[in-house]
Amino acid sequence: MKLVDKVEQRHTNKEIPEFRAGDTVRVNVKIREGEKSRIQAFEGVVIAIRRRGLGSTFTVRKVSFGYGVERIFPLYSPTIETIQVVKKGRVRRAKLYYLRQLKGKAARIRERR
Amino acid sequence: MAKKEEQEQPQAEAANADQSEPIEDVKAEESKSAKKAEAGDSSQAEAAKASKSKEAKEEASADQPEPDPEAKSPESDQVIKAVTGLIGKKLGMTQVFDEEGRAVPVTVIQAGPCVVVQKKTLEREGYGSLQLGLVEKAKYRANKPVEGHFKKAGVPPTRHLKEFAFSENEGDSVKVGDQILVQNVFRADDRVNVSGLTIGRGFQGVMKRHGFSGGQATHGSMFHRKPGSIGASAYPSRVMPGMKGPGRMGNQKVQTRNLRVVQVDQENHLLVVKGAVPGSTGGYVTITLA
Repeated sequence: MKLVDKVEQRHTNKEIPEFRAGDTVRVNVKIREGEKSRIQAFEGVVIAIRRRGLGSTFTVRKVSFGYGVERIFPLYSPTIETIQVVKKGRVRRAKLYYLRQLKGKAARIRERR
Repeated sequence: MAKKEEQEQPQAEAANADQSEPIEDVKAEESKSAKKAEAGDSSQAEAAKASKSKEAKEEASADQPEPDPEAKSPESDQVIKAVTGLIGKKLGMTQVFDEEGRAVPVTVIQAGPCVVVQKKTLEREGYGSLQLGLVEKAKYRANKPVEGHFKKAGVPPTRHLKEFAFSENEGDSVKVGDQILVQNVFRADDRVNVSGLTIGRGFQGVMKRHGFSGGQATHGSMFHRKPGSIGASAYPSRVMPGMKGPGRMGNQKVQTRNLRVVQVDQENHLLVVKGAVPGSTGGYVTITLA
């Protein structure tokens, strides 16, 4: 094991469910408001996963009140409480950036069994 | 500033604690001399040393290297004030998350273990300094004169030697042949300077080397990456000294100052500092307290 990995180990032992691009996930994010901290959920379609070890991130897109909203989460961030896979989607790309141009019916994703 | 208090505390503790426990480490077989003068070289002391150091190791690895002087086990973890720096090897960059969940870019440096090879004093050399050598796995076949220098200290030759300033009145806390570990010098949240050789870039033009803006690429300008005018003609009829031009770039000693120590890994002799340090991965750097 490389020694650099030993430093990363502290964070990489976090349990993360398996999901891919096209899946619908609910990300529970810890939010600190002064003293108190609460959990806020962000639910949407995973349109990209960038795998870079500890620096991995994933992008979740949802349409909120008619506006497209995307959030990029660091996969191993301690602010992420849990990730729940809501739906598995069948897609033919690794990066679903084309969804940004689509809306309504066209932006649907077939379910994967 | 916080450093001061941290340093004072463990020392005070140590005074109350078992006096006969010398600083030890697994790799310290060669550093024969004990930290404290009281500790004789009897075999009994040696055995006690070994077992105690093992305990200390386990304790240290169990709790994360937080800058908590109370939790620190015996003397091997104590900060030795006289030592102001270490030699290390850059292992690369990564990121860690802090308590707030923010990603912090960090450089991982294998700092030490180092041995004290020579002590320069005001009387003899005219200035006070500690000459440290970086202990590495790879065997170093020194030539005879170098070998002799190390023989005096009673340590095997090391490839890298570096001098670190220290004040004379702290001089007694370290002896020639002593082994210095990361935790003896640095604590999390310390500020450090890291110096090393930057990556050599060879012969480069003015745009890369000095950040000149160059000319436009298109529209037939015929002036792309040239430096342009380097002075007037009739007067002074020469190029002014220090004019920026093309030439060798990189491979220079550069210091990055005031980096925060994020983490000290005693088990693996790792020092994790925030930000970038000069040189390539695998390059040697010197770390000093800022």
